[in-house]
Amino acid sequence: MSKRINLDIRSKSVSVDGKTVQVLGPMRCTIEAGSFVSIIGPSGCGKSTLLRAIMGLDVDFQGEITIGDQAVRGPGVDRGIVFQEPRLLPWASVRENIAFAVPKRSASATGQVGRLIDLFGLREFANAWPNQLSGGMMQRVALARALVNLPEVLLMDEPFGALDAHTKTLMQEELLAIFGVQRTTTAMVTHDVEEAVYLSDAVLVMSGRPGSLVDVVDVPLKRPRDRADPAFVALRFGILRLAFGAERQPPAETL
Amino acid sequence: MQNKSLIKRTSNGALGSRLWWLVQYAAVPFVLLAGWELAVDYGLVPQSLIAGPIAVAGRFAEMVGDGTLLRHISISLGRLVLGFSIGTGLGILIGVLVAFRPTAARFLEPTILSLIPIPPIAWIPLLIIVLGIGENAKIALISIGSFCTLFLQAAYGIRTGDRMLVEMARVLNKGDRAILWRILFPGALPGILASMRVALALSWTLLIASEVIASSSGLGWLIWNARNFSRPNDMFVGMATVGMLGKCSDWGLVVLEARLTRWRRSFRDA
Repeated sequence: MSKRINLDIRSKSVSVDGKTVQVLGPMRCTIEAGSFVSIIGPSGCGKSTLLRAIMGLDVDFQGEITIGDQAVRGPGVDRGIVFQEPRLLPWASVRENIAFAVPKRSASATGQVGRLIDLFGLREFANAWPNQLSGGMMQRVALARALVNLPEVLLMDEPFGALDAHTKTLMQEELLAIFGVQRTTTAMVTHDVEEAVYLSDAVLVMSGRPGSLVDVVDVPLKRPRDRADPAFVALRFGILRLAFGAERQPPAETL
Repeated sequence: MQNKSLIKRTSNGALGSRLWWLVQYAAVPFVLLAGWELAVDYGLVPQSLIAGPIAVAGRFAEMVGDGTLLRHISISLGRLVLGFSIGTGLGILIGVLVAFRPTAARFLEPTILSLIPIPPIAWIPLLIIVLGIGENAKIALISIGSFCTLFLQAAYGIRTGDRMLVEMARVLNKGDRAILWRILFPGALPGILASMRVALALSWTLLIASEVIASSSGLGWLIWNARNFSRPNDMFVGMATVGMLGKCSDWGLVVLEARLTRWRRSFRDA
């Protein structure tokens, strides 16, 4: 079932051109089991580095990340992952791409592949190659692949960043529908504040490099949310100001 | 009235374009063959050394009829297929290994890369000393050529594999085997198949070279022997046979490549 993510990071440095650069500063917070959290912050603040640490792709940092009671030491299928690019195998069909995530051949997982194909409306394209799909469809396959092992947490790095505005809105609705059913703990990096407020229970706002936690903004609005709701707009501008600085003042009448 | 003329013009155009299509394909071969035949018939070239296409075609039918041509073809094809398969197989295997395992690269790659610049032809004397003038030397020579081509391509193809896909597989906790065979190898395959065409063309060259130098059978021997005994008809039959077989074998690889890489959206398919 879905699990809590606990972040306790003291610092993370990388070596760039022989010089050591600190990319993450102190950061402690808990993403509760079954909640949807967005991570937002200025470009280069280490949002993706943080997410890669949770994925287990880069665990060379001071501090500890735990999922449930388990410290993250490397990648694992308890986490479902979606990147900004679909990262599908070009030589494998939609069905094979989703099944690729399944660790061992098992009847239940095979059934799960079929169920996800239906859920994402990919039935007619199950045997198609990725180059025959639209960008939105490819990202749907990537999302299905991330969900096929019934992960305890879902980690997404700007999953809709490369999609057009209309497709993006549709994908957000699909994601919310699935989240509403499965309640998988979800952490999503995004640069789109509106998307963060529309989807999340809470928004983690990070500072510029070295990235550290500025604030956790709760989004107490009931779903489905209305993007034009004054409370929604107020939250959006509040987070914009926190994340990107005071120069982005909203027009007075929207507040 | 106007309609009628329009229809007529369209159908004329279709017929014209079909004719034009035929002309495009047939023009150059026809001019070459006709020029060749006329040059021989009018004595512009000595008939004892060069035969015209009509005489060659007659001799071709004769040699097919008495089975000599088929015998030389089967001997040559046997050498080619064996040498090409061994060289290609080993080249892909060791190329993949070296690209995927740094330890293997440290042991093998400097040696292999120092041997590759030696042209295969330069191996012939050594191969004859070590393996004699029999089948083994010829097969080994063809293998060397295919090996070098495929080794370079396979290693390059694996090394330039898509890092983002490998990372995706790592977060799914996939092991080295899945990463190699589900991601890196399929990604390298189009380049490997293209290199196999190069290696096949090189194999034909090395086959004929080895049969010319040390053999008493095969198409290369047929060509060279015919020259030595002033039988120009046989010489041209041998050359034409090699050309046709080379074209057919290349076509086979093109078909294979098209089948195995259907997932790509290529310029050619547009």
